Amino acid sequence: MPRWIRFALFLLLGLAAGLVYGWVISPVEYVDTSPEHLRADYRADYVLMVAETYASSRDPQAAARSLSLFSPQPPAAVVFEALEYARSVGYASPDLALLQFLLTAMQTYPGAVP
Amino acid sequence: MKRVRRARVFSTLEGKDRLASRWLEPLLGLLLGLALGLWVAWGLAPRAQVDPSPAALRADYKDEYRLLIASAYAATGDLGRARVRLNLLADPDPAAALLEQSERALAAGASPQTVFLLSMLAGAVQQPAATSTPPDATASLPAAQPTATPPSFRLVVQQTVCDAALPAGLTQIEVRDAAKQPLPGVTLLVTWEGGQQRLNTGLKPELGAGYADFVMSADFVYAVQIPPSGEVAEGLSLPVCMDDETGGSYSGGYLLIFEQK
Repeated sequence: MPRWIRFALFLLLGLAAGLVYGWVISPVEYVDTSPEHLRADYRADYVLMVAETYASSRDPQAAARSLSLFSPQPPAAVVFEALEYARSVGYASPDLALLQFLLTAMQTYPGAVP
Repeated sequence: MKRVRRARVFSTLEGKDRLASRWLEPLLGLLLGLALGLWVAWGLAPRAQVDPSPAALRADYKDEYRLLIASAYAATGDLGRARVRLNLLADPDPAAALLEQSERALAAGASPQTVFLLSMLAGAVQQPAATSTPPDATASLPAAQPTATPPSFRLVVQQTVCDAALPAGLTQIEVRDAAKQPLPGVTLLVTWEGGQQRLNTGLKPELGAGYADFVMSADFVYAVQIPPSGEVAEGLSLPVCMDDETGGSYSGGYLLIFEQK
């Protein structure tokens, strides 16, 4: 077997091993992420926390601010997405009601978050 | 004799070169390929680890997350859910992390309410868990429920407050523990015909850790209770107070004091 072919074969073997190790065995772990990269259930729970707080404080500006930290999307869109997820996985009725309450508030909230 | 020895020596060296060439080139190829593969996998086209948990959040977002957990806890009084949420952040000691954040907030000049919320939750999670089973961070979050038997409260004071300097209809509530000490983080339920509202003590720390208030409307009669089984302060409607100086009247308020049984 020509030397260059043998070299190329081992190069490819090493390449494959490196890819398997880097993609499968030890993939890049993301740290220092932002809330928008959270998994759907964590995102929904984040929005539920905002809804729980809003139900008590009735402060739409604070709620909108918390949601803006969470996602660049408009607050109402973030809540709508969370509500859809919550419905799909069967959140309890009181939690759905809180999310719906927050959604209504964010849909009518006029102010942009500073 | 010398020529023969030299020939043997050269022959041995050539053999070593062939041997080195035979194994060195593949080894170099393998290592080069491995380095290339790792560069592609980790640098050029990393395979995204999808769906990170709150533990992967940046430190400032973790602070926001903790504060939101504390705010939600103050609003709902649901310690079980707060514990589950704190576990998601994977802090080695959630209570210490809350206290440390409250100290940083205080030093940074954050609002007293922020400091109070964090401190209150830190104090709550330092208490023994209601069950021997640790909260399961992978459980469905909204399904998590505390199983502790909630304390019961009795109404020890219900009196009209006539003070023209206070807002009309202001109902001031103080909640104390069995040792008559102010009790923060207690959820009160205010009900009226066709509506209800939850209040939490301690959200106005300048007025006391066990303090909460709300303003009554002239159109409704209110009842206040610490759910689920506390005594009820009922029949609360705007009291009419007389102004001794002018002889006129104005709307007063109430003072309610609940004490843990």
